This record gives sequence, structure tokens and C-alpha cells, in this order.
Amino acid sequence: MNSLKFSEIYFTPDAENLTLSKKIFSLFKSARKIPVASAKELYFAPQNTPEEVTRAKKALFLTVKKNNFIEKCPGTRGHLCCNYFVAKNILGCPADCSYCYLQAYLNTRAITVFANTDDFLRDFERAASRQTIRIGTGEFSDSLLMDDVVNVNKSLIEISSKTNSLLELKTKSADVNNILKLNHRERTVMAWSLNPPELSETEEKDTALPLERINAAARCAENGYPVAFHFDPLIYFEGWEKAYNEIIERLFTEISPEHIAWVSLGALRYDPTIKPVVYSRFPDSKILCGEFIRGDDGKNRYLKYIRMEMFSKIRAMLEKHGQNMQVYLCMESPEIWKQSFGKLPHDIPRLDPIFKTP
Amino acid sequence: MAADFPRDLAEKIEAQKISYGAALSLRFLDETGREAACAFLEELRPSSSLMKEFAQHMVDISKKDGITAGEIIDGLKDITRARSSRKIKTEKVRHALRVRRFPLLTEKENELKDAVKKLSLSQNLSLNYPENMEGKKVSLVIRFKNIAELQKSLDEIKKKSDQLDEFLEIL
Repeated sequence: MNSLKFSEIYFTPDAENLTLSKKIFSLFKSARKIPVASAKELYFAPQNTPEEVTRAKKALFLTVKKNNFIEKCPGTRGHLCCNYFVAKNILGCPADCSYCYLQAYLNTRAITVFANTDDFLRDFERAASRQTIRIGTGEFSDSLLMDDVVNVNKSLIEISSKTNSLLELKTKSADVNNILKLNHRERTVMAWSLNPPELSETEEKDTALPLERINAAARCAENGYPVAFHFDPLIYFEGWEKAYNEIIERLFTEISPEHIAWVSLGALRYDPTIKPVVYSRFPDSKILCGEFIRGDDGKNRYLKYIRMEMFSKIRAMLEKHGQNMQVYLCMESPEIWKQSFGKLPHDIPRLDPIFKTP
Repeated sequence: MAADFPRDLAEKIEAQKISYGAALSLRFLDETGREAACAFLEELRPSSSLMKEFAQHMVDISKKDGITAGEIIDGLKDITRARSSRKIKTEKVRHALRVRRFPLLTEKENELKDAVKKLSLSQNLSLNYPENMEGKKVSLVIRFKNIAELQKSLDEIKKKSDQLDEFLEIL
């Protein structure tokens, strides 16, 4: 909690007296409390006022979401989908990664917290019980960084333990003390995004060091949790091969492959509207100056030769340590699967749990 | 709400010397870089869309290679000082900036162009690869006036299938 500080807390009238709102008001007593009629009062255009993105990380917006807390990841046209479900109880993240798509995607001057936790948990339970799915809270926020504030992970882990679904808590935090001893019944996968330390140092502000993340993962694995790793976004830079190899080697000195539920690989991709925001907020960052081309889906992606090289080499680095891991590509076309992995995911039986539609 | 521009750039937009689209990129250069880039663009006077493209490339190259806009422009002086029309200079600048911004992409494009050249297809045939080389699907256009011409083209394609394979291998 020491690291989280919020200078303003906005709230809508329907959220003001909810239990979570009261808890948050008491946690951040010095924050200015500002009533708003609706989220519209907090809207802004990140491309025109990127400094507001920075300010938004220091403010909370407590409101109520009526329904649709759980949505299937819409995937991207022409790309293979891994059938992931996204649980949305928070929109925004206190960490500050230069490449984060949320910078241009979210347009509210605060981290939005849906304070009607009971409704969220009910939706979550319904979705996780109805069918066997992979579902996570780490798409629109970090699954652990805000948990001292919203305190839902304990309930999510408990609900998941009674289903056949898999909850994924995806994070760049290393603080796992609150969840270590929970009865997860291996239905919660603790997942970390990983990049080499030299990249993380400059591009992933306010996050735990990659080696600390690996240590946290090892502690979770010791406590029976399946763990997962997302090499996403992979970033192409001079010396990338050595750097990624080193972090992968380090990963396997701490964690045995049988504890690993899956590893995803995804090359840096971005909506072009994010570029001015990144250039303004991270003037020293060079990551958007790679050889990106405009894909069919309107996103900028590395030229395919770069993606193919990274995917095939990193997969080999990983599989050196175990042939049975579920290594998959995130948001890639069938052609890239074939050219990088030699096969489509549907022809790799061990990927069935991920790619077979539930 | 419009983007914020430093005063020097705002004045250039106001005076219609620099396009708004170009200024959106140039604002990320320091003052000296902006001055050099603006002077270069004002002298070359490309269309608004090309000005925007050149500005984007200059900013990206400057960041990527850790050099100033002035140094990038210096590297183009063989083109800008040559005795040729503004149109030709603009085309050459466009090519030079693109090669520097996208070295691997242009290398692969050249490989494909060479492979097409090697095929030496007759005038009735043209081969197109996917934009930005995403995907492996190519298109072959056959132009013909009668069945005999069509048959001739089909025979040619069949005869050159090995070279066509080489072309497809690049993708």
C-alpha cells in the first residue's frame, strides 16, 4: 500500500456508500473526494493531452457497472484467437509501461474501479461455472498491483477453486504474500509478463524487477500454483537474442517446466494513435521506432521477418528446457504460426486446452 | 481540442509553411532539430501528405539512430544539391528516408523485385505481392484478348513454376 498514492478520488452517487468505496475513502484519507454525475465528466483525449494520462494514474474513479463484467476477448480479424475471457473490475493501472495500450485506449482521467464488487463476483462465478474457460483480470489492469485497494483476488481464487475454469492473475508485481496460502486447488494460474531487465528498467516504470517477478513466481510454484509467463510485448533491439536468452535461462534456474501452465509470445503491436502519447510521455523510449508495418487490423506490427525470427528463436530457447510446455502466439495469423512454429495451434495437441473453443 | 505546438511550429502552421500533419511529428524534435527540419521541408516544398511522411520518418530515424534532424538532412545533401527538378529530388528524398527508416523492409522488397525481374514475365502478366509482405498470398494478373493469348500465358506460368517458387519462398 505504501507505493500506491492517489490524490483524487472521483465517485458517482450510486457508488458513494458501497462497502468498497468506504474502504477506499478510509485508505486514502488525504485524497480529495470529488463527486461526479457520470464518467463523462472525466473523459479526455489522450492524444491531445498526454500529460493527463500521467495524472490519471494518481486518481481513482469509483463507480458502478450494471453488467457485462465478463467478456470474451474479441480477438483480431485474421488472427488466431486463444479463447480468453476478460474480467473487468478495474480499468487502468498504477504501473507505467511505455508500450501500454491502455494509454490511448482508456479516456477517463482516473483508474476506474467498479465498486459493486458483489455483482462482479456474481458475474465471474456464473461465467467460470457455466463452462471451462480461461479467464483473467490482467487485461485492463494489473491483477495484483491494485489488490490491496480492491481486495478481490481472495474471492476470485476461492470461486475458481470450485470450478473447472482457470483464473489467470497476470501481473508485474512481486508481492504475492496475500495469495500464497490460499486454497486454490490449482484452478488459479499466477502469471507474469517478462522482458529482459535492461528493457524493463527503461520501459516498465513502477513495476517489480523481472528477477523479482521470477522469484515471486517461484514462491507461488512452491505453494502449488501453476504459473505462466507472457513474453509480450517482445521488443526487438540490438542484443535482443542474448538478453531474452538470459532471462529465460534465469527463469528455468528458479522454476521447473512442470509448474508452467503456459507461455505466450506476442511481438510489440500498437494502435497508431498511441504513438504521440508515447513520444510525449517517454521521450527517451525508442521502442516504437522499429520496423513496424500496418497490419490488416489497423495495428502496427513488426515486419513479419522480425516477428518470425523472434518467435522461432524464443520458442527454441524455452523448449530447450521442456518439450511439453504450452507455448503459443498471441494475436498472430495462421501464416505466422506456420512459418514460425511449423504448424497451426490446432495441429499441436498440447495446445488444445487453449485453442479449442469452449 | 488540437495538439499543443511550440511557438515556432505554431507560427509555421499559421503561415502555411509547414502542414499540420508534419507539425504533429516535428513537435517531438528539439528546437534546433525543428528549425533544421522546417527549413529543409520549406525548401523542398513537397505535398502536405509527403511533408507529413518526411517529418514522421525524420523523427523516427532521429530517435532510432540517435542522431539529429540536421545530421539526417546532411545525409541527403547529394540529392538536394543535385541539378534536378524539385519533383525528382522529392522522389529521391522519399526513397532515401524510407530506406533509412525501414532497412529490412526495403531489403526484402528489393529481393522480391529481383525475383520478379528474374521471372521476366511477358507484358501480359504481372505479379503482385501482399502489401507490407503480410501473408503469403500473391496475385497474378493475366491480360488477354482471346483464348490463344490466355493459353500462351498459362503455358508461360507453367514453364516458370520453379522460379515462381523461388519468388514465393521469399514471402
